[in-house]
Amino acid sequence: MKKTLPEFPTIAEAARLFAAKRLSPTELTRMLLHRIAVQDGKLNAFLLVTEEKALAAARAAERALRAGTAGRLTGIPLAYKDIYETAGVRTTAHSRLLAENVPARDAETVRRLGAAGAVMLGKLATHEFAIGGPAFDLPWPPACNPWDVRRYTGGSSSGSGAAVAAGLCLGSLGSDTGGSIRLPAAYCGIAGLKPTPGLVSRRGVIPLAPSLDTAGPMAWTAEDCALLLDVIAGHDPEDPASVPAPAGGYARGIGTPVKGLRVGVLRGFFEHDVPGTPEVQQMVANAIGVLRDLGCAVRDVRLPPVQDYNAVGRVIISAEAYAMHEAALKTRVAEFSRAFRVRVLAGGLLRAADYIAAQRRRTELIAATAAAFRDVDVLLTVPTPGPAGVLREQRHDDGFSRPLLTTVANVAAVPSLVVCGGFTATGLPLGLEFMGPAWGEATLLRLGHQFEQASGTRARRPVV
Amino acid sequence: MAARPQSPAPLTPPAELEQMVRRAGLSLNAGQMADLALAWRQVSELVERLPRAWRLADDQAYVFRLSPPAAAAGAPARQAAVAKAAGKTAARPAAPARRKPARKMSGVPARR
Repeated sequence: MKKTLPEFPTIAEAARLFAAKRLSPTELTRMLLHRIAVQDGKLNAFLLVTEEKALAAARAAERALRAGTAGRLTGIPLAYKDIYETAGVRTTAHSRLLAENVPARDAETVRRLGAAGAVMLGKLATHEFAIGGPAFDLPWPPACNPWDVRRYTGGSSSGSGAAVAAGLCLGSLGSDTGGSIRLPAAYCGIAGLKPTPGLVSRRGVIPLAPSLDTAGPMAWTAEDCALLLDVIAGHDPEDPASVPAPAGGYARGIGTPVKGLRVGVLRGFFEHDVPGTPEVQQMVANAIGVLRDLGCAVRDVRLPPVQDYNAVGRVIISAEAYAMHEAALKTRVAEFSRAFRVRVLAGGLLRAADYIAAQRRRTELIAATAAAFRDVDVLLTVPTPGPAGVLREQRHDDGFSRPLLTTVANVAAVPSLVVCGGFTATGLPLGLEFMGPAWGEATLLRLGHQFEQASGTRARRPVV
Repeated sequence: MAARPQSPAPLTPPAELEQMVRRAGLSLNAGQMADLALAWRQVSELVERLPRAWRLADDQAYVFRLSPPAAAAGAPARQAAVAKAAGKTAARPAAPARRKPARKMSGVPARR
């Protein structure tokens, strides 16, 4: 690649370089395949690299660019969490139970991205079936954090977080049931969007807990998430939960000023319920300053405690995940990772009345959260109380013994965007989370983009 | 915004836990049982946090919601669900659950 070209182009930049004929999809794809070959031995982000398919798709993208038939993502190299089904390409869910699984059909989101011209580089590490991890007793190791390879990426879209942060791909698809897009986004210093339930199809995405599962984009910037969402959002009649609501235009409006936007700070979440480290508190204070400089009106807002949302989320996830895997747990329990068993088996002992109680409480929490948006446009909180911990020290019972801040948005059925809010003194990224009312993705992405621009957090990349 | 005070859930006696596991149809070794005992205690604490005092008349709210008649009439997902329930073959043949990778597949496992 020419020296004047960026080493880590974003999706938006790559599209501009393609249009200006300063970079070709094949050059970019080769550059990333080389980077994967050199760096992924340290990161374990990829379970599978589809090199031949990627180069063939890149050549097809070049032909489309020359012919003037390019789509919105023509030539953009992406990689997918390995719970997204990919036609003719192994899809394991990071589990030995699916080690030989080769779907015949793409997930709807993968299909839409392919139709828009995206180039698939391969399949990315996850926690086993999007819940059991990080685990060291599976055929593939867990992904490592590019900012410090001894540290955890967050999960379960662990490979997506690592690969995007390290610049091994320009964007990815993750899934989020209790925080699985936003936790790796926070720990890996990237942007990740958990959309409103029903906005993005889940057809062909191996489920964890269907009443909370969402599929969404992960990328270096909020703008890139908007570009991906523009393609994957929209009604899919094959996903029963898909809603025929208007979708699109997320990238187009991203530069509209945010002056006058009302931002509510959920201070109780990270000062009381799940106290953040002093560096997290300082990062939030700095972020509030940036938002005020952008013209936002910032005030404190209260919601029920994080512990209430977490209890509802964990009981629902335990019950539904157990139900999904009951047959295999009865006959092949030893083939699952220990992390998976710890997080899922207890769901088999829950009573129907417990599950219903969780669903009832969820309706109250959805209403309480929706009511908060009468007075503000966006809620601000943090996805994690601190930076990424040491990978080998992660506990299998996280979420049970310690509540997850991210589960609030899943239980409340609202969209949520995590962007990089700043860094610790040792250079680890800290996440900032914006939640909006249902269908409020455009506002979240606009605010996230302008925060990134104003705060300068996108200037640093990890050195692997 | 105080978190609701929470007392630890009582430990389920091992014999009772084994009975629950048997009733669930699971067969676990000693190590798996020990992991489950810990996880079950934690899940029980979460269950304890869920409110149970509800007015019976409030119970209508959380059940599923149908689409309006006009929207539902031609919805392919609904048609597919009806066909599936009737045991008919869907318009698109179902893919086999598992299949050996094709020999010419370009995807090469990075690590095993």
